[in-house]
Amino acid sequence: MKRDEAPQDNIAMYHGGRKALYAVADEGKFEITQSSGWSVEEMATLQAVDEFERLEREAYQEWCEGKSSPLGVWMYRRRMSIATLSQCTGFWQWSIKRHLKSDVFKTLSPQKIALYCDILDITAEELFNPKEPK
Amino acid sequence: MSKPFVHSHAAHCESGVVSSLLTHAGYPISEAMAFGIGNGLTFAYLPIVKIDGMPLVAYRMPPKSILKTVEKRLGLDVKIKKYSNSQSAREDLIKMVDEGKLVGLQTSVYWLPYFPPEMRFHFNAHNLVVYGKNDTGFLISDPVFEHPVEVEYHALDKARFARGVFAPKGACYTIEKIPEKIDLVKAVKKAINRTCNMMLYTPFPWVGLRGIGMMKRAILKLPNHPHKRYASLYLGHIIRMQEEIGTGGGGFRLMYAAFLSECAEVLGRDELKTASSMMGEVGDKWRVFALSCSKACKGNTYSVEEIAQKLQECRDSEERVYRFLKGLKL
Repeated sequence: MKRDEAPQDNIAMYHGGRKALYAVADEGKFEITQSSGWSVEEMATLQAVDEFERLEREAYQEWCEGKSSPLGVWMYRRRMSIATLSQCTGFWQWSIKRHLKSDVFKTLSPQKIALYCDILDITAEELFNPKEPK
Repeated sequence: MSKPFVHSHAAHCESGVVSSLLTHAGYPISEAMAFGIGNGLTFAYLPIVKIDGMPLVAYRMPPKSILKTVEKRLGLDVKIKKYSNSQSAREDLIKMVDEGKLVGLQTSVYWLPYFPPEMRFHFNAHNLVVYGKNDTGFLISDPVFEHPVEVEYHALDKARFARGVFAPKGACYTIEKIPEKIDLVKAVKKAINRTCNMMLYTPFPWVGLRGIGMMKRAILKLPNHPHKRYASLYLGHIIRMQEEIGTGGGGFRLMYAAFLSECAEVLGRDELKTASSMMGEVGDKWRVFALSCSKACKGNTYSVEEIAQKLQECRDSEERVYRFLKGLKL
């Protein structure tokens, strides 16, 4: 990649920042070049963000209908999967799946709720009443 | 030690931090050189290790490996500390900063407030440098950002004690001693040979060129997956691992090309310039591969054969570089 071939797509998610890339400068040497982003990277990142937002909206809908617990909404809002949440809390994946059920969630001990609040960086009040996704 | 710290913009966090720390300690070294000597380059495809349900694809070595390898090759004395709670970690960091030390930290990406919201994911092996403090927080030089930033005490605690895979546990490191004589020529030769051997002759099927072949076979099987969205998410995941996570561009191949061209001067061998431009072409091929993946993510019609073909080209041209380097008998 030559220096003038470095992508300059001004992608929105950099918020005006730039990233360093290596490209061939004038004398055939590789040097650090500033790039304002590549649309390919933007597409892939936004795809991942969108997927989490879609799951969050689904979880919110299910919570409103009383089908599942508010934990799912917060899990996806914090961009976690069941596997990630399991690694962070130390709970087994199958027990997190149980906690995602509305009736099981209501019976959780204050210690478990406190651990979830700590990991998700929210208060218990917020955990039980998630706001509507944007 | 009251020399002012100079922030420099780098392509990758760990090599950038190692370069910053060493340069400040009196041994100026470029980011690419730190990356090369630290044997940062690799390829690994681990279908068993899942990141949000997707296989791990890595273009560089695991976290802290660059730091430790550079320490070994240059004979440095690096002190790594971990903590059991955030209180003592913060107090110790304040103490070190007051002593005028430059401290490297391992943190999570998700909990760093200065990261753009779209780019915040749960990745625990980010690296940055703390070079000072003020009343409310620490002054931070994050090598992948253009300018230094400021982070409040509480926010940094959260990022240093994030849990999960690669949990940092408050890890911080300082360079205590640099030997008076460093044999850079020997270090460079060893590093190049090690990387070539790993990529060409690894016994593990998921590492090196064999790993690229494994990923290719996985891509060819994508149309058989029962979930329609999976193929698109999978290809998007590969692009992110290559271009965003750990950055570098072209899966770190462009940075390695920069390393090889520096080596040409260190060793006084012009053949390494040829190797450098060959590696540059490899980086470009990886970018072409990412581009064809992204077309497949967007549109509905695509052929996995074509994407696999692009990947095969990356693999073949990489093999030529490593064989060429082996042939130089460094």
